[in-house]
Amino acid sequence: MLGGAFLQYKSLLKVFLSNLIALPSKKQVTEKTTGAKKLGKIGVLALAAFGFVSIFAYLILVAYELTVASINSGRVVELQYAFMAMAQITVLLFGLASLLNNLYFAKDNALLCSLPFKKGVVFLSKFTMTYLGELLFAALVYLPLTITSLVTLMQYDYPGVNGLSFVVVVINLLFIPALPLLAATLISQPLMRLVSLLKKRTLGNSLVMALCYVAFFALYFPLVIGVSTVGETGVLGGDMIGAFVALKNYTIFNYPLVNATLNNNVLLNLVIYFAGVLVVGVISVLLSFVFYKKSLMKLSEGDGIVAKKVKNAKNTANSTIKSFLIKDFKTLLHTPQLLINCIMVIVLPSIIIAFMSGEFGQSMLEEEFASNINTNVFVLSLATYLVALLSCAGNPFGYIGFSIEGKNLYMLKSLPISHKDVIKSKFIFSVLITAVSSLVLLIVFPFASGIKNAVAIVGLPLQSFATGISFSAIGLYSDLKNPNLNWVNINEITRNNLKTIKPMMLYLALSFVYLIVGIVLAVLMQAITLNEYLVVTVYYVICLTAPVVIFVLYFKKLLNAEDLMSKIGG
Amino acid sequence: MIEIKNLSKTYRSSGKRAVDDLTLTVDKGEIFGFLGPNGAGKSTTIKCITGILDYEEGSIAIDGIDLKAKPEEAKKKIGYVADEHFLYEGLTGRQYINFILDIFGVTQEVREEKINRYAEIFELSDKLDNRISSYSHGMKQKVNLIAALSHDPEVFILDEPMTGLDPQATFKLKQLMQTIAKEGKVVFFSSHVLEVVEKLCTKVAIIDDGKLVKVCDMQELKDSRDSLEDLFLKLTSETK
Repeated sequence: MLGGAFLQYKSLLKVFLSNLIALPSKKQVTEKTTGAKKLGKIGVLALAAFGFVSIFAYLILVAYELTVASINSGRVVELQYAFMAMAQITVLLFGLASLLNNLYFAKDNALLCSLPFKKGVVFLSKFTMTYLGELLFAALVYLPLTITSLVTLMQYDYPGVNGLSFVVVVINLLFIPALPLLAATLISQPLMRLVSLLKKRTLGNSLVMALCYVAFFALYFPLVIGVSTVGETGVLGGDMIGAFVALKNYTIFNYPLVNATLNNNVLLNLVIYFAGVLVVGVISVLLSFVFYKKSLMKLSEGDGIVAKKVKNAKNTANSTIKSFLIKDFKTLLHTPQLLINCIMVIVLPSIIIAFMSGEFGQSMLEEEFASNINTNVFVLSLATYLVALLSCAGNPFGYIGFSIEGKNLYMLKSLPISHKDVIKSKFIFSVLITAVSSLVLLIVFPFASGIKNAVAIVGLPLQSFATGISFSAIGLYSDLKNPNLNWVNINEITRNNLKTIKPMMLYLALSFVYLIVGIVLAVLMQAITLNEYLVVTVYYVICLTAPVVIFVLYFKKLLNAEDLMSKIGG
Repeated sequence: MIEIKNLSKTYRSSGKRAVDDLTLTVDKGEIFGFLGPNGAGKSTTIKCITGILDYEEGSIAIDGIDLKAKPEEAKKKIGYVADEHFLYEGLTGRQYINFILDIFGVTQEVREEKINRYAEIFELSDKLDNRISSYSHGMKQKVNLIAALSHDPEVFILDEPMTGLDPQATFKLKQLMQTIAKEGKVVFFSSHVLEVVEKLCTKVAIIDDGKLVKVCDMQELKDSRDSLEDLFLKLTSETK
């Protein structure tokens, strides 16, 4: 019996993996590119690489500084806990979303339910897929931080750290996503039960999830930013030690992994942790599975809404573009994954700014930086960086607007509407989301940040808007070039089509440039006493240049991309 | 009318020539059956006629309007019911139909009358305000039919239209197809149900491996006392 279940598990996992790793067709691989196209591609790739490298460079720098400071402060153990916690918090956040998408919102649920698979096997295979995905996120956070830290510790002859520690780090990585994912599995159960009780399930689910994300980011960003600020003295400040100790206390379950990293009874500690994960895992999976089975059945009933007989229901005529916008809005409203993203892109920037500018963020900055850097400009550059990132990553209609249509795009092609109008409506809808987000920022930013500089109050929302619309232009163009219309789960749109991520990489690099320029100006301002209005004006003129140039280049290209639309389908 | 001249379509991704030098004319007032084995190129041809797929050779004209030269004008003449349900699940049936009618520029008055009429015919009036996600396969097909019929198309194109429909709806659809043809409009549809095609159509075309094998007048076929099934099986096995 167990053998049969294992065979089912193996074959399901194989299918999921094959679906995930969709190899490009022969034609795509051999497609020749012209010189100009090649140059453009190299340019985008270079910028994307810059984005990646700059983020990693930043992480490595932070890890190095924190390690030196922790050696001087005698807090090396706490630092290892902090790095592990950061990776685990990341896994918890993304894992929760991924689990909900894989377990409950996947379009293949109906198909899998109809096949003679044991439900437990389906659950475990989907859980395994989520684990594999989260392993990547954990690696991106944990490896650069911990490896840098270990190299630094070796340089400082820290006792116990040697070559074996690096091997342990790799083994640790396999364990790190386990507990947060199990926690996410448990969290997802009451969430889904709650959602299944709601009448408007999609909306209810999206709001609950969005609230979870908002709470997470509101705590996470200030913590990361706070933790990454080290004073010139090279020791950890009181607040930071407090934060590290608190993190250690909350994540004390990582004790065996930290011990193993620092070369104390490596094998014993790893075995203890593995055994612990196994016990917790079995209990969580069993508990979750019971809920999963029930929730799945409830959710597959549909969202429970049966419309009452509508008296005198109106058939209202609208213009083509308006009709398209209404259709997209309704789609957004009934697609939890999209709705969560859009709620976040609208409310999250303001909340993060409020936390960053609040007592916690201010105390960090004042204590460590006040003498060398202009606090307002520094906060502004951080805000601009985060807002730019969110304006892009948070608005799926800006980079997968066409792919979201799925096979409906073929139906749109059969309608008597020019491809240009379809493209236009997609762009307008994406811009509307950006506009709402920027408007909220314009209203909330002065109150949330406490910054009274009029240029900054207008500049940040303007920057957010410019970033959003230019990103929509390049993102939608890129999506139209390589749309992914055959998806089961909405997450597969980007997962199976990495080309859609290229514009995001470009904007990741740009956002980082905004941060660097802001920090340079903040330091310069303090060093040579410059007028704050002038500095902020110069800052936003610099920051607006790239989005304006990208918009000019790609908006025309996008509107004239009718031939790309014609080619869709084969 | 539909005029297809030397149409060829090769899929870029696979390099497969799905339609090869197809020439076909469907006149006004005809119910035209488009037959062929699985993978013969029926859906590809229909997708080319409806503007979903681009084609590299040949021409298609709808009511005299060249599809490549004036795509929007040509598509305005077409009411299309696809073999797959391209529907927005978050919308209600009514919202979806209104969306399609907006694109066709149907006035408020006309749409009220048409939607109510067709919703009644297909017994969907009381469910039109439910979300499409709650619809059964057949109900989704009915929504597609109402959306395609309500803008009064000159050319009615259907890809496997009877699939999923209950017997009442199938009967009513067949009646509607006959009425539309009597009004001097074109009905062009693909099907695997040869009995339906035999009873309903005035002309049929058989396609195999992307090539047109035969166009025949149903009256002539009836006069010759051959069955469509025999003809179909004979022609499609000959090409193998």
